[in-house]
Amino acid sequence: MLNIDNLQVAVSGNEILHGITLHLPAGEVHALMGPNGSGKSTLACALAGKPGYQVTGGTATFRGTDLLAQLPEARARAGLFLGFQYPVELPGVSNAMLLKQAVNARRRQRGETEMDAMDFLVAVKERMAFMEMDETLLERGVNEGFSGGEKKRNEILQMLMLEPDLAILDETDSGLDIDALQVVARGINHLRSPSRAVLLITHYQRLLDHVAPDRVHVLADGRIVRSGGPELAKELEARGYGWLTGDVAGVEAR
Amino acid sequence: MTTKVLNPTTAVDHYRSLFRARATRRVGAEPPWLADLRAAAMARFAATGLPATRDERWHYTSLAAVAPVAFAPPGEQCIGLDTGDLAPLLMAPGAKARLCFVNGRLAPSLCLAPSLSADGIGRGAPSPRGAGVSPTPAGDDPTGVHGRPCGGPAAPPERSALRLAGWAQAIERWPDEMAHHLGHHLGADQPVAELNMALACDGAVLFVADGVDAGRVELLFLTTATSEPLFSAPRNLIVLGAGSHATVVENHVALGTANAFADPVTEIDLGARAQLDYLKLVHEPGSFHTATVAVTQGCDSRLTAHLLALGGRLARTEFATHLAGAGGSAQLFGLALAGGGDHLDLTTRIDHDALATRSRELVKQIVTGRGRGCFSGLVHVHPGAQQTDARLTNANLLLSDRAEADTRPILRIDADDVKCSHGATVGRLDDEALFYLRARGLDADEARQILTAAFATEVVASVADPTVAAAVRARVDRRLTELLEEPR
Ligand SMILES: Nc1ncnc2c1ncn2[C@@H]1O[C@H](COP(=O)(O)OP(=O)(O)OP(=O)(O)O)[C@@H](O)[C@H]1O
Ligand SMILES: [Mg+2]
Repeated sequence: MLNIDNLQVAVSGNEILHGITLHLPAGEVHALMGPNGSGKSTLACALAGKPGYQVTGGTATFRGTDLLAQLPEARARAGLFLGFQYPVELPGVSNAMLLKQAVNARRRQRGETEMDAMDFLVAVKERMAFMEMDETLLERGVNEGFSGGEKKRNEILQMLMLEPDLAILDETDSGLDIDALQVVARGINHLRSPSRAVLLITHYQRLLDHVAPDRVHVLADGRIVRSGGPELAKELEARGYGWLTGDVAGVEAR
Repeated sequence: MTTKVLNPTTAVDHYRSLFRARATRRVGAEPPWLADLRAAAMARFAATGLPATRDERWHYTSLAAVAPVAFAPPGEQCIGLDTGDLAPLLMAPGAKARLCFVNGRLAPSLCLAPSLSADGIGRGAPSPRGAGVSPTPAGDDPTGVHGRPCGGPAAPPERSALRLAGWAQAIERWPDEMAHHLGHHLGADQPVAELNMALACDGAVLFVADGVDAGRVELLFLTTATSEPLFSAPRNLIVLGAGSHATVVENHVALGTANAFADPVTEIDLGARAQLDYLKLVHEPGSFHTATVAVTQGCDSRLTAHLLALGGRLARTEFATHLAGAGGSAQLFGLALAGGGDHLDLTTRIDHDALATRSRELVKQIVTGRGRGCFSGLVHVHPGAQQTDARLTNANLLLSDRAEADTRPILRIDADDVKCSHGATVGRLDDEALFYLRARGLDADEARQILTAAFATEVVASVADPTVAAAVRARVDRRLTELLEEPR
């Protein structure tokens, strides 16, 4: 699904990622962990095509096509979804309008007809109920005045509407209360399927208690320093990152 | 197009000659009090000439390009328009009452009368100081406005006590009220308003009787492209009696790019507890427009004003409201959309001059290309205006590196028990927001369009009348699309 090889990324002239290699097959959920400032969001943004994130070396392919050559909107329509660490507030842009435009942009890409207003409303309301979200959020400005938890739920709602093949979720669990965490985890598990893949960026084992990862990777200082099974996350929870960050020789993640 | 070029120093002479020409033409037709008003206004205009940028209120806008051109009122004109042509231009479609002016002159065939004639029905319309005139049959109506082409059933009496007429008819029929109001709502030192008084030849006059709901009224000022540089000076008066309501749309629009200089003045008087929703729109590409709007507000009156500028070579609106009665409130919304060829200026003044008055002002400007949007807003709390509550906000969005937005919010506070604040921002489209939309599959142009429209939303969404709001939304969206297609 996603193949990243020796990816180097610079932001404003500073190299942040020094050669990332990571292979995420369809059907799997991988967790990406690592200390603050290690480059997790940088990787997510580079994959989603955020302007200003300059790829200085390496490759990334998504379902066999070169991801890096495409505009961010083309990546999204092709089925890549980025759940933002800090979802942006867009006053004056209705949440419903954005969802509808996003869904239809993806449907057009797939050669499907646009969703009509009625089908759209039914689909959104069903997913909002699943995410235990208040329907009034639909008519509000995108994330405008949403609480931290509401913003994260809204990201997952968008994901459920868009049904992406690859979801990169950047700390979607941060700032959630215990109940909200379970709701968000339920959303992610709902998406999980043999034809899809998820990259979960997180600091905490508690999300992984609900969404069991197939692999766990540790990013430190712009390099993947360790990859392992689910037990690696538990070990990090117990020991912190210190024992790994000295170990910067670089480990091939797969 | 033939354009006679004047020596800049002779602008005053030019307008004085227009003044003399019209005085000769109209001799005997106007009452002496009006001739005196005009002469005094002409004298004051002649003393100052067109405003210069050293005048604080004209800081951002120079009339240097207006001065040398011999703008003149149109001669006999053939309108060549019918009501069907107006449909796409109307901002209050479905209004029961509409006056339409073409190149500054009333065009009776394009007007819609309120369902009842001149003075409404006797019992609904009070006649202050005995100025009321008995109703005239529609056929005798000199403007042809009244009673046609409405055709519909008569409105219920309580809605009909409004008097709407063109200027000439109003002077003739309601001279005392006209004399009472004309020029009385304006401040001192307003050269372009003096020029208007000197030369005004037409305009809309609306009186709404106490307690009456006048509904929606549209005043449409059309400029058509003419071969000669065109001058017009519409003079409007809107008077709302105690406890009355009205929605008035003053819509200035040019068909194509016109070489015109429009100098409109609108005076508004709100009686106690009166409520007016007033919306002024100007979209006159290539033209000069120097509007003055002056409001006097009585006790507990409520004004909501939308001042929208969608384009003009030079379009300036100077808006002032005088909160003269206790408990009055004014809500002002401004929106300017300036493209490459536009210079838009909104200068506002709110005078808190009575106990417990409230004002809210929100002005947004969107500028692209080499366009310029200028906002000056003064809030003056006069001595004794305790418990004033005022807030002034201005936000500007620049869509190009060459675009310019100027902002000058000023609070002048001469009372101590007040709550006042102001703020201004100038920014560009937020990269994070753009990326967020693109990451959801919207292409870059679509994302820019959505965020630009969102910037204007707060102002557009605040239009209370749903029909007017929908028309505004459509006009604004259309103009924004044009702006976004312009070279940056
Ligand atoms: N514009 C920039 N210029 C210079 N350095 C930058 C810029 N943007 C990000 N960085 C740096 O890149 C590094 C990686 O940041 P990134 O946001 O990817 O970290 P992260 O792993 O997501 O951290 P967190 O866990 O706190 O979210 C940080 O040291 C950050 O300061
Ligand atoms: Mg991060």
